[in-house]
Amino acid sequence: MPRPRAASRKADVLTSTLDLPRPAADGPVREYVDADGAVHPMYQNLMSAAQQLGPQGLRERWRRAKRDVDVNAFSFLLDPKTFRSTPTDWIPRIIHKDEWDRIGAGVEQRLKALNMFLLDLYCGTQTIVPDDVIYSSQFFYPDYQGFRPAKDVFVHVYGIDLVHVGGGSYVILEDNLRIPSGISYQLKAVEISQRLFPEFASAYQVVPYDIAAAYRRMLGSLCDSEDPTCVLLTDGKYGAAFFEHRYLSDLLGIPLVDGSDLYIGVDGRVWVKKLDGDAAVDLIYRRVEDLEIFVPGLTEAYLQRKVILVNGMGTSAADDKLVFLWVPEMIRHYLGEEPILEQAKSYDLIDQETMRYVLGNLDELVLKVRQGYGGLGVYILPDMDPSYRSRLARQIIEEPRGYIAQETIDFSKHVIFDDETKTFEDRYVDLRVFAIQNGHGETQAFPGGLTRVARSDGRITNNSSGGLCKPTWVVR
Amino acid sequence: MTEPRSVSLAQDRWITDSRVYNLIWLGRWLERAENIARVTNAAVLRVERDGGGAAALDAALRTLAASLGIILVDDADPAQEIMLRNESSSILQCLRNARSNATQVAPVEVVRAICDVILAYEAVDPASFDSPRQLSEAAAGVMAGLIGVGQSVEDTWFGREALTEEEIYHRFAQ
Repeated sequence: MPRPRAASRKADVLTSTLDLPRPAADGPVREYVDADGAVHPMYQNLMSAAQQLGPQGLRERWRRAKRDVDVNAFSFLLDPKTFRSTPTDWIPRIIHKDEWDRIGAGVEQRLKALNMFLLDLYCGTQTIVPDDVIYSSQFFYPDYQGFRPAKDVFVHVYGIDLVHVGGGSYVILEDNLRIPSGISYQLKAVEISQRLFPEFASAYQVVPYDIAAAYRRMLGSLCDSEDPTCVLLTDGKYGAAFFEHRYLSDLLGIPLVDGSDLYIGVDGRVWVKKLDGDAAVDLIYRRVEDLEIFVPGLTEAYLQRKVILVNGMGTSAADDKLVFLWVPEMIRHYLGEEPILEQAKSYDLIDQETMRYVLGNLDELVLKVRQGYGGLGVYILPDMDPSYRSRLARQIIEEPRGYIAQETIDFSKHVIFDDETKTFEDRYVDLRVFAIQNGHGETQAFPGGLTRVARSDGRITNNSSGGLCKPTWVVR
Repeated sequence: MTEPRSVSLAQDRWITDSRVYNLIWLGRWLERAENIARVTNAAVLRVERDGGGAAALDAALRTLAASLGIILVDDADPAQEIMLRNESSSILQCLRNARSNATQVAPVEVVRAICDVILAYEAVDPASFDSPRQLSEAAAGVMAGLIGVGQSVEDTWFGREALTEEEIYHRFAQ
């Protein structure tokens, strides 16, 4: 869309008066500015508000917001024994609804296809992903072969990591199908930004959404009883994302339980221990990975269809970073559609020719440990010391099924405000979008998502790797 | 399309085992923080009343630390240990542990009230604990803050008006 001239002059003034970062030559896309460095029309009201506040005013607001985060125990723990508030930058990322509609449709399309794949994998005769890929995955559970989950849905809550490569195009980096976390951080960041920065929000019509209603509808749709008993299973207050467990429990009005609260009764059902009499559980929204450790016998209860798990067991087979390569084919096969969203070009290292290509171009690629998560096991070779290359080359030659290679994507940066130095800085950002699928087969992606900001020295955005959150607004 | 079924919303006050565990420890940590603040304040005021100097205060705090089970290694400063550092017997750690239990079991208003006390306490310059007056003020500040936590418990857990035993039971049980 051509930028109006009047807006351009205003934007240029904003860039200089706010002392926004200068772009590097041929650097990555900066979402809040145009190619010529002037503030993007969509960000002009926001930046004008920031200009009105000035560096000192922004610092005061940032500190007020930090206090709000601290007081509300809005935390993400890196060390179980140390309380840590969630580091957040309060300049919102803005996505236009037209852009979002395409993202949302792409995410929902992918979720549907992944669920159909999992059903085909465990209950059918899937032929899309080669057998040696499936059987070499530590996430594939042969014990679940033949098991149909409630309403045939394996993945109810889905998180997908995207990066913006410019011009409204987003590329998928990976899928999260096990226990994707971050939706409460999405909600909380938006809530605080709108409450404490009314000047930022006043000029925008942010698209509303009701996660609580959608989740309740999803949980209810999976159960046969009229008034199902649902609980949220947490790994406890020392878990990294415990804030989210508590927040969702309050939001959805379902009890928060830990493993010690649950047991398997003589009837094979899951029961929750309570002072005034135990209660049978119909559905567990689980936020833990190793279920048998938390509740011995839970796997058997699930396979006997005595309890519903959200997400189901076995979903990790499609969460495998190598299976990722075949998701576009799943979409074509199961839905008869072309993928709406592009995904990062990835390489299966078992193929000799591909391996030769990867070894010859290691310094331009990203290597990912197949079973890694939370930013662990991701090697962005262009950003690393060359001395690592020979070691990683040895590792992938020794264990080609343990890694995938991926093209390095020059994704977008966004601006953050450093309240210590009262300066602005550009950082890499990604976008984790959440979607759900209910028992009626309906999918819903929640507008915006969680923008994660990388540390100043890298591109890995995970909070567990030292990244920040950023509120994300979808605007009309 | 099938109408969505409801999810029962009446279960969020179940007294599960983990809630009981966290409730007990929440109470214990809060009480411990308050007790340490109270006896620290009393010790400082007594030394001041008796006209004792820095050596007398140091001796009083060392006795207090010993009674709290704090082992002072080498030349550890007893005021710093009692106020901030000791893992299980400093005021700050007791408050932090209480916050941790509260996040699992207490209404958000109570969590906020505890966080408020911690933030106010963390804002005190640790170097000021060398001064008996400021040490006393910091301890008194915690005591005052915990009155606010108690009020928050009254307001958000039990309501402002006195409830019957049965009402209290049902408030938790449902």
